[in-house]
Amino acid sequence: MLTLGRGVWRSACHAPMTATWGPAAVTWPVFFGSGFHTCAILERARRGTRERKAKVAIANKKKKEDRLRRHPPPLPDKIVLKLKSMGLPVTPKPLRADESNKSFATDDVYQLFRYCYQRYEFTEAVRMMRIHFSPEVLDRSDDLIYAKVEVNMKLPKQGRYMDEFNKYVAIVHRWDDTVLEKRICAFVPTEELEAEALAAGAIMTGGPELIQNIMKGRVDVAEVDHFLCHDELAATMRTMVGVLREKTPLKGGDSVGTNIKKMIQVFKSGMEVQVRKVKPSLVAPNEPDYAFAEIPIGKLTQDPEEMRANLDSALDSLLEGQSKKASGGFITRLILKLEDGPFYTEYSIDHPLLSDEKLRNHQKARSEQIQEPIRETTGS
Amino acid sequence: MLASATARTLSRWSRPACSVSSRSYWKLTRTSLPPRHPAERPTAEQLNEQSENFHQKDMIFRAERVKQPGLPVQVLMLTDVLGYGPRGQILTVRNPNIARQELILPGLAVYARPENIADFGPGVIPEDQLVMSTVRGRATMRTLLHTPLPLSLHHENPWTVTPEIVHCAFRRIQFQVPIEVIELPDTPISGPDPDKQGKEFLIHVTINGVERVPVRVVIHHLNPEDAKANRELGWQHRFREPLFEEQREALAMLPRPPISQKTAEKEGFRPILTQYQQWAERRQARLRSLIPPES
Repeated sequence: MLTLGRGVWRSACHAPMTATWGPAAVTWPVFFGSGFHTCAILERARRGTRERKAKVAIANKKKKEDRLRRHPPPLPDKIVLKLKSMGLPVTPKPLRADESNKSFATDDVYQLFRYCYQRYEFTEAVRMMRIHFSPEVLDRSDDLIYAKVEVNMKLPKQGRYMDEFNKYVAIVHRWDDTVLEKRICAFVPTEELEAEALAAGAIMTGGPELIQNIMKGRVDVAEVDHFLCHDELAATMRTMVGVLREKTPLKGGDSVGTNIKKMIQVFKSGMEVQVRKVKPSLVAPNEPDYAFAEIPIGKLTQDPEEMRANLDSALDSLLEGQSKKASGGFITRLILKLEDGPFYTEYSIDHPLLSDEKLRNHQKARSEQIQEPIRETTGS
Repeated sequence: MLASATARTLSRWSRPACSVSSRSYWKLTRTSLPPRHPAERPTAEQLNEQSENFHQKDMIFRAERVKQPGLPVQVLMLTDVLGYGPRGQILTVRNPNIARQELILPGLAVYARPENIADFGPGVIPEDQLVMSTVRGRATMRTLLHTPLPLSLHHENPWTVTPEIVHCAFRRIQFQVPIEVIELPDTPISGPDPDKQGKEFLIHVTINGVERVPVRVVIHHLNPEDAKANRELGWQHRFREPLFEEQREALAMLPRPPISQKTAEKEGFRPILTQYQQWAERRQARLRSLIPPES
């Protein structure tokens, strides 16, 4: 069939032609009765076929991406040479420390890269950091200590991973008195809960009446930093989106729950922790199960027990709602560090909430006094 | 690529007498397939052409040097050498190049062949009687002997050198050394003091309660804003004045890290290389003088 294109058909359909019958010369659109069609509408498949094929194409694309992620193609030679000239590694260094070929050191003096990294006790790590940043050496004794929490984002289902998320964690012992506490408004259904919320530190509490007053503009909520809501009133929060906008407590978030007292404590003197993944690039490999969060836990001059309480509270909050069925645990490593501090001032610590299989096996073997085979590497 | 590799091999820093012969080969891999059609293949004139613009894809090879590691060698010590053992000790050195350069060539040890052992006479200590805490501990001892420790201290705030600060300095060079095994000199070292900048002193580290290792420490006044700046190239090879005069002899006899070819070829490194060669000859002569004449 001759196809002349869409333009030809349209121009053929709508080309005005002068007819010679009738009282006067009138321009009528004349349709050719040629018997062939050139429009593209007749070249595509049926809708059901298109939908079925699109589904297959998306599934194939996903399989290909997964295959390329697990077996990436080799880099072109030009890029390899450029990376070498820039001093960058050709194969990106793994984000997690690879300890599969290493064991724990048995000597008291050893080179760090040959063995598994040492997990310090919390107080000991803080003491070492204080020496590093003392006035005699680096002179940053009043800086903030961060706990870098490395997490495992794997879901129980094979090949599925969690997305990045934010979480509000409570600061039990504050290190900066100049930062003001947040103002909280709590929506609760009963009067007992209202009293509990006020005792916990909320500046405003109420039930459906308060919600109505806010909707009608009778109550000024401009000074409120956070709005919290009990589960029973969560359904009514959708109507407040227009008034409260991004502060609206919605179901599924941290601002809706049953334990109002704890929520108020978290939001009043807490902070938002962001758990972020690492984007794959030339220097960072593609590891969708790796994510990390940096949580400030206190100042170097603060009491270590207060810092430990802050860390425990932050880790408890992060672990809330995490799947226990996922393999490998959630929190895989804890590192104490200062912002922009040298690498040798970072100390990994042991913690009861840590899922560190290597360490637990080593501790178990030591307690049973089983001789572990010593494995060490010649390089990092 | 090949021409530069050949030049390096024949350079004066790789004299055959100073190195053990090792088996190695160049593995050349094509980066692209040669043209199949005869008309596309380069002519003789093109192959002989030395123009920079001439670029034939199929004549480009990826060159990789594959080395076979040398076999460990057994030596018999003729004198006490720090990091190896006492006179008469038979021990295995994993790297034959190091055994040859540090022990055999200077005349501080001989190959542990039956004739040499018989000639040595009584006093031979078999290898299984080697006193050491662990195999790795002994290797760590040799590494610590050759590694100078940079002790960075604040350039303005008052400081005194303590075992805690030395422990942190060891961590910077990737060594785990507990605070309780570090022995400092009896005289306290305080600062900041411009006279102490760049001077070295000796400390002792005990590994597993058995090996007592002397370590060279170099004082450096640090500006924390430059904490991440790289140290000058070849700083560990430079010769410095001792902080304590009584430690001069011990510091002179302490081994020094070997100088790599890359460092030796750097601009301005020639005087240090000359100093290193003179120091090596003096040290080896001193060690040879300790060998009894009948051996």
